Parts: sequence; C-alpha cells; structure tokens
Amino acid sequence: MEVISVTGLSKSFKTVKAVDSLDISVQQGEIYGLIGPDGGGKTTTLRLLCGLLLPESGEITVLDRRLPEAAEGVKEHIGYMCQRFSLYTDLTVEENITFFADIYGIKKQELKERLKPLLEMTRLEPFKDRLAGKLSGGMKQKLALICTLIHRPQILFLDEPTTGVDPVSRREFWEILQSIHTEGVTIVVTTPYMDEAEQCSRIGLMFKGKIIATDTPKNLKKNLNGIVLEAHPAFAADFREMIKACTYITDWQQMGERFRVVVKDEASAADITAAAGETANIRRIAASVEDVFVQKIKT
Amino acid sequence: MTSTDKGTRNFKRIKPVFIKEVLHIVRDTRSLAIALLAPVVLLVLYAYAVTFDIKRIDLGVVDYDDTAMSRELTAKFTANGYFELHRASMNSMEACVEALRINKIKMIIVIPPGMSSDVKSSKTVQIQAIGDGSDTNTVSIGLGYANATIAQFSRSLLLAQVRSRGINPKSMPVIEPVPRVWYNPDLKSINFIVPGLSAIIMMLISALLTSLTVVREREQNTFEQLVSTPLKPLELMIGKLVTYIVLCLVDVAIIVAVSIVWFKVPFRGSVLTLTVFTVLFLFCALGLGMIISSSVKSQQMAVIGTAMGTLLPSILLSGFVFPIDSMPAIIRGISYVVPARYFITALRTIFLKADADIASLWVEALYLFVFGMFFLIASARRFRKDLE
Repeated sequence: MEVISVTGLSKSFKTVKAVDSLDISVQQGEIYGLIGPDGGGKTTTLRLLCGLLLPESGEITVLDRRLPEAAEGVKEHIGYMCQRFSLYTDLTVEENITFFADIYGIKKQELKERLKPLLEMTRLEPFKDRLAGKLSGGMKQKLALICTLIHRPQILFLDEPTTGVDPVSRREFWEILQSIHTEGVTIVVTTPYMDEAEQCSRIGLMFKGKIIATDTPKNLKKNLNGIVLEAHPAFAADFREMIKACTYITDWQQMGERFRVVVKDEASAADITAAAGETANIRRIAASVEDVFVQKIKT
Repeated sequence: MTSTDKGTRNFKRIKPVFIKEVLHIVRDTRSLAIALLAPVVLLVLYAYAVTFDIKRIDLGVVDYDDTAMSRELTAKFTANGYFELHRASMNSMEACVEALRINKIKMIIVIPPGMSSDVKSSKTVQIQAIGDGSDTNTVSIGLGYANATIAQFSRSLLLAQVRSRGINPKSMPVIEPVPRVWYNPDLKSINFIVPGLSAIIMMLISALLTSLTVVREREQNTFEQLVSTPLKPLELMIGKLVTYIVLCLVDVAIIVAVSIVWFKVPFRGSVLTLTVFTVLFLFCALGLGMIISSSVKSQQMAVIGTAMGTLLPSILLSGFVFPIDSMPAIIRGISYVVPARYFITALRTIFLKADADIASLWVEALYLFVFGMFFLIASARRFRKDLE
C-alpha cells in the first residue's frame, strides 16, 4: 500500500529552486532513504511531506490525506525529527517525553506501557531525570526519537538523524531504527552518508533538488555502468601518475595506500590490470552506492 | 480517496503547555528573580522620581530695599520649603541673571528700593518675579507659590494696619472660598503616581515576559518540533497565557503590598474588583507581548519592540501624567487603544474610592476585555504553523 505519493513537487526559496519537480512513492513498511550532499533539497522535501512548508506546485498525498490542506490531520499520525536538536534543554528526559505524550493525548497508564520498551531499547532509563541539555549528542538523538515515537506514528520522518553523532552511537541508532521498522512503521530518512543507504529498503539519490535515481540499493549497484577495482600498489606515486593518464577510468580515489578505481567495462579492467603489472595487486570489489552517485552526477 | 482531514482541536493540550511553561520559569531562576523583583525596584525608584509636588525651587533674591521688612519677606519665601535661596549673599541683578541663564536658579524675586518706606506711606509696591520659561512646569507652579507668599505677606501688613486703627479684623466683610478635595484630601501626588506607575510597570513587565516566549522557541529550534505536532496555535497561546497570568498576578500582589505598606497609599476599594481588573489587563498586556513574539525573528527584536510598543504609549497617552481631555482629538483617539489608560483609571479608582466596584468601571472593563480577546486571537493567527 502506498503511504506517500508525490508528483511534480517543486519549492523555491526566493530565487533558489530547492526542490524541482519531484516524484516519490513510498510503500507501507519501507525504509525510504533520501541520500545526497548538503544543499540538495533533502530537508525541504521532508518538511514538505510533513506539512511544515507549503508546496509551490505538485501533488502530495500522505496517508490518503492531501497536503497542505490536511496538514493538521496528517500531523496526528506521523512523527518528525528535525535535523537540529529541538527538545527543551531545561526539561528532563522524562518531562520532555511526558510533554509530547500529553500533546498527543496519551493516557498516563498507556504512556507507562509504551515508554518501558522504548527506554530499554535506547538505554535511556538511567538518565530519566537528567536535563535534556546535559545529554551527549547520541543520547539527545535517541531522546528525540522517543519523543517522535511515543504516539506510535504510522510514518516516521527523520532528517539527518546521524549527522554529528559518533560512529558507535550511529550504529546503535540504526539498530533501533531497524527494530522500529520490523514493527511495521514506515520510515523516511535523509542522510548525507552513502554507507547508510545500505540500511534502507529503497533510496532516492538527491542532487540539486532532483531525484537522479531511485531503486533498492542492490539494484542501483547492480546497474552501475562499470567495474570497481581496488589496487594496493607497491609504488603508489607511479600508480597515481599512470591512472591519471588513463582515459578509460571514469572515477578514482586514493585511500591511503590503496586506490579505488572505476572503469567502463571488462576490456578496460583487463587493460589496466596488465598495464599496472603484478606489483599493483589489482582485484575486483563490489560497487558502493557512492560509486553510483558519483557516476550519476557526472553524466 | 484522499481526505482533507484538518485534525481536531483539543483544549486538553493546554495543560501540558502550562506545565512545560511553569517548568521553564521555575528552572530559569535568574529570569524568575528579575520577573519578581524588577516591578518592586522600578516602582520604588520611579515613585520617588516622578513627583508633582514641586519643592525647593532654586530662587535668587535681589533686595534693593535691604531693610528689616524686605529681609522678613525674603525669609517668608524660604520658610515653607517651596523655595531654596541660592547663595543668600548673591544680591546683584547681574549675578542672578547669570545664574538663571546657566540653570542654577529657576526664579528671581526683585524687591524694589524703598519698599518698606512706601509701605509705611500706604503706597502700592510692586515686587517683580522672574521665571525661567524653559521649565514651564516648575515655573508656573513657582510663580503661584510666589504670588501666594507675597499675597499672604501683604495681608499680614494689612491686618496690622487695621489693628493699629483699633478695628477688629473679624468685623470686616470677607468672602472666602473653602476648597475641599475628596478621595485624596491632601492632594498627595504619591497617591496618584503609585497606582499609575504600577500599571505602566506591569504593562512593560508582562508584555516583555510573553514577548520572549514564542521567539525563544523559534531561536532554540523547539518551534520546529512543536509545529510538527497536532498542537494548535490557540492551545499553545492559551497555555502560555495562563502561566504568565499566574506569574504576573504574583507581581501585582507584591506591587500592591508595597504601595500600601511602603508608600502608604490608601486602599479603599475591593480586592475582588482589583483582581478582576488585573486579570483583564494582564490578558491585554500578555496578548500584546504574544503578538510581538510571534511577529519578530529574535529575542532582541522582541525586547526592543515591546519596550517601544508599551512604554511610551503607556506613559504619554494613558493619562498617567498628561490629562487625556486636554489632548487634540486625534491623539485622544489613539489613547483609546492604549490598555494602560483603562488600567490606570481603574487602579486609581480602586485604590482611592471606597465605593468603586466593577459596575462603576464597566466601560474600562469592557475595553480591556475586548482588547484582550483581540490580542489573543490575533496572536494565534499570527503564529503560523509552518516554517515559511
């Protein structure tokens, strides 16, 4: 069942076209990732879907309600977590949660029942009485997540929830998202991190206000137009000079001692392996979403 | 099958907003201290500064007569505390004129040569009183005092003459006015200033408190989270308003206590009437602050906007100092939208008149109620539930 349907959505701020004739369709129970660099229009898209901004043109339907007319109705059934921390720093963890629960009209007893597993999952139980402003970055994000989950939304919108969060907390945060996902909540998440795309059931690559590709991460990588190689050459400087001169290399990147090289086809892969010789230690590796993204924006 | 579900209004959401606002206030001890102490400090400071009882006017006396009688007259000027003789030795016209020019004195009294001999030979003597017109208020009152002082002096001379001719002064026909001032018999200006000043201070403080409340949510980004929930603007506004009404009622109670205990302003009206008017007025002032808060982008702008929007109109156009009836028609019209105007009238009446009740002040009550409702609804409408 389609829970979000967007056609021809555009939005400008003054002269900048932030979102440019977007089409998005999200099915119930998906984790849909909007992936792309900063300033690509991810946040604007998310805000439009939550009824926080008025569209300039195009159609938005969320949970069978038309936006922006039914924005207030939609807000009762979604959860939105914005990019910057947006809870009350002078209220404790528990007070923040209680405030949002009361806004959504959740009864005391029910809140208690719902809160228990959420606090367990996020391991925030021992910090219940701590002021939200005194939490670490990762804990703040988890608290914000609880506040947006407390009314059991059908769709959860997360705007760059892991930006500025340490790697361990980031991983933990995704584990929590996955367990929410298994409970049947549809999740729409934005992120500038290409590696997080792997966590999504489907992704839209967003660049300059447009979605330049949309599919499952697997299909996107499979359809990459080229072959990804990794080299671990004995003489890095020489190898570098060589690939710089190669015309059939579409993309390359040096990572310390190693090189990641994308070539057009099998023939090119064979050519470069031969040219670099034994010492280059060239082997084939799997494509990443980043490879797809780079290729898409170059063409 | 798309619907245009607008969501439901639910006034049960007011309570969590109220609880949250109370927590904000209680946790922010510094702001709380300011909110509770500032009104008292301002009242005590300004009640002493703003006074219409003009005393100790600096006076220069040029005594060309220089007799016992002229010195007696000079002494009369300083006897009642209305005048203070500026450097008693300064007996030259030039020195006095210079002193007047550089604001050392406000008035000069010139006693002509031969005053006492003229008086003895029953001639009319003219005493010149010169005032500094650049300070009209002080001088017009000072000239009045001077008139009275000289008239009294003249009368005492007359009585002495009458007595010396063996006539009983009491048998002379005299028509005398008997002025009597009700409600504030001694015309103590403090009784008139303190209630007015209280209204102005409360206007400023209360509007200031709410003017920060919405814009703070915007600055701290909590606004974005709030607008993504089903909380409606009116629910949010009422929740915030109720919190601040409670806080400001405490302020008013403190102010009234200080007025009665410290300034000895009589409180003759009823506490109930006072409470009703205070709530109506706070409704207005807090609502105004809320409109400002939902219109500006930063807390600084909110503070400046509130100070400009409340302080000057409340002082100048409320009848606090300048009588509204003597203003030109347009200004009088503008004064109708200054909430402090009604609260000042109400406070002065409640403090000083024993029989004041809501019925006798119904016009003021009605205006305050209408403005309060207007401000509340306008602020809820100005509070947009999106991030445009």
